[in-house]
Amino acid sequence: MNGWMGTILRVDLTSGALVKQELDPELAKAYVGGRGLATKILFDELQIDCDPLSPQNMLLFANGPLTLTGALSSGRYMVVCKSPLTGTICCSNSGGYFPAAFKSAGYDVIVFTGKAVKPVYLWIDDDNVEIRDASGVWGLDTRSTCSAIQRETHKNARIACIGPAGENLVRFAAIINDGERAAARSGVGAVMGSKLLKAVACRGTKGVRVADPEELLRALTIGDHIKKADLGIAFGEFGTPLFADVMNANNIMPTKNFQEGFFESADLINGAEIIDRTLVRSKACYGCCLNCGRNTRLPANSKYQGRGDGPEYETIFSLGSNICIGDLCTLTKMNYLCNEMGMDTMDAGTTLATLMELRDLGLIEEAEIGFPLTWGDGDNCIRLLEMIGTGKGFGTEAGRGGAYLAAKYGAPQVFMGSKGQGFAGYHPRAMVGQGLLYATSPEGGNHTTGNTIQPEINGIPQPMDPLRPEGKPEMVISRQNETAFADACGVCVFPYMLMEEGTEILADFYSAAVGEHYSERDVRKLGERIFNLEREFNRRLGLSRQNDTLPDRLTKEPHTSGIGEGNVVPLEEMLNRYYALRGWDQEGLPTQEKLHELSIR
Amino acid sequence: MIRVSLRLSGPLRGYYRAGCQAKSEQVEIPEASTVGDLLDVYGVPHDKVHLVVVNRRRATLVTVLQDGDDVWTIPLAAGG
Repeated sequence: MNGWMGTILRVDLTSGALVKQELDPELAKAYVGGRGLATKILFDELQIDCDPLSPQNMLLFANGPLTLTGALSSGRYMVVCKSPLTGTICCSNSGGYFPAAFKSAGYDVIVFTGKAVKPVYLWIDDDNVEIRDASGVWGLDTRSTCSAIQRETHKNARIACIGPAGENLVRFAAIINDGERAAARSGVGAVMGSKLLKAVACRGTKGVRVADPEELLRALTIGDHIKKADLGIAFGEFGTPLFADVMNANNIMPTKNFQEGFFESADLINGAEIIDRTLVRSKACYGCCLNCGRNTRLPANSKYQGRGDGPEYETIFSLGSNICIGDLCTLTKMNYLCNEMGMDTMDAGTTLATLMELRDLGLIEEAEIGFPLTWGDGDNCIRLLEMIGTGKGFGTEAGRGGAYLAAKYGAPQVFMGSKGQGFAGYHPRAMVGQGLLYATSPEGGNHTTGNTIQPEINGIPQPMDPLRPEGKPEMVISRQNETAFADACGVCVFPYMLMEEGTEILADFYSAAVGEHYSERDVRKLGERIFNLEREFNRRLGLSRQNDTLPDRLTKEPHTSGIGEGNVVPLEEMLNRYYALRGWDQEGLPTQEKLHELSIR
Repeated sequence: MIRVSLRLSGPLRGYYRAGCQAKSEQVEIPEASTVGDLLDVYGVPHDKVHLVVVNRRRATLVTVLQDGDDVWTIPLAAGG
């Protein structure tokens, strides 16, 4: 098979059985790979009502047909399961070098089922696969785990693992690969922990066969063009932290648990500040021309010490502006801690913000947490993050996430997320399309099923008023479908997002890899199929329009001063049109006609 | 003359005057100057500026500045 390796590896952790299964070409053609293929397998095989942290849940690692091919930024893999944070379908993805190693070992998907008797890790050395004892690394942080397993296996092995947070079933635990990159969202690390699976180590020496290598070589020219364009230069120099300026200037940098969209101290935690104070070097994932990663070190005169990767913009918002931390070193320390513990910086921040607002409202006592927790209090945030990761004291409760805490303490409206997952760093009151995207994401409030910055803020491909609902349902559907396809291909969305013709180029690469022509329209249809399949998964769980919600803060409380002052998200109006355009009924459920059209069964 | 504050974000910060360590710079310009005139003082090519915000409201290169205005220029950037 061109593009795919042709093998699904099935690992039954209960029995220890390892089975290599041939990938069905028709299935691959219909669902591509990555997010699409893994979701289809889960959809067909999962006992849908299972507890996400029980052995019945399945955990799938999947790369895509473009991973490893030389297509732009082709070093991505996806983790798919039923999420313990949201109870819905989820897909969490990551870059780095593990994804390429995973594919070059010869596999498209790894399906984990059951639960091991004792802690284990999976060692894949090309065709040789074994389940190994992980007792010696259980309890270690993610960086130490990586080093220890490399020593036990091979110095070139690439590792994806959980830290103490995953072991302690923190509902927003991440899977960290290559020591620093994270499949962070939706609590996929807790599912891995519930199976007593500490890590997956891969070493691969195989190449992937593609139908038209010449066409894929075009990626080099396009990559060079992107690198030399203003946006590419800015991306390489500042990374995603550049967005702190953009979001703050546009009044969409969520601040104080989304009470505001402007953070007074943003200049102290932005991309320029990182360059001036902490940056060691920028770095890139496999096969990427952008170098958006930040490797940093806390300066000697900082209160905290450490070295690692980050922060990305999403962390700058979640552990910075949204909890009123205006000190780069404090927030970077929290970022390192989350990476080491193996947890999502975004929902970690949402959880802290939820607790701070609950404290303001007098709904939770200081004694219950064990210490004061106020806006901007970095020391105690660090203390609580450590307790969450290690499952100590109030950390056990806090590790269940913001939605749980807000409900438990009688103020569910304080949780800034949807379907139980915290929002990303874009305030929807001043970019209402992003609000529609959050509400309709099958995974809850994330930015990884699409984001609307290009059309709503940059006006690309054509200007649209970020404050108005007109044109937003069409735009959101388009973003969601193209992102689903990119996630299925096993590429990072960044370079494609930077080009107006990005989806067309991705379609060309996909065609070149698999040896069959797909137009931009064709690949959007594939993305639509994947998105609808996720919706069907959630329908089986009883989700419908009543779950496509936003907190009253976004739909009823007017936006604060600056751009968009007084605005709210007109969600219901946008939802009506969105459902109609999707071919769903007004309860938000795909109609039989739509399912038939997309050949979803 | 009027006095305004200029903030050059991201890669645009390379256009600050040599030796500027601040996050923004105070500058005196003739009355009735526009944002575009202000950028010319610093030699910032207009096509490098994607968004102009004055006093936290959207503005353009032809917006006429007033004494005390806070001018913020942003290059093109995508989200993620």
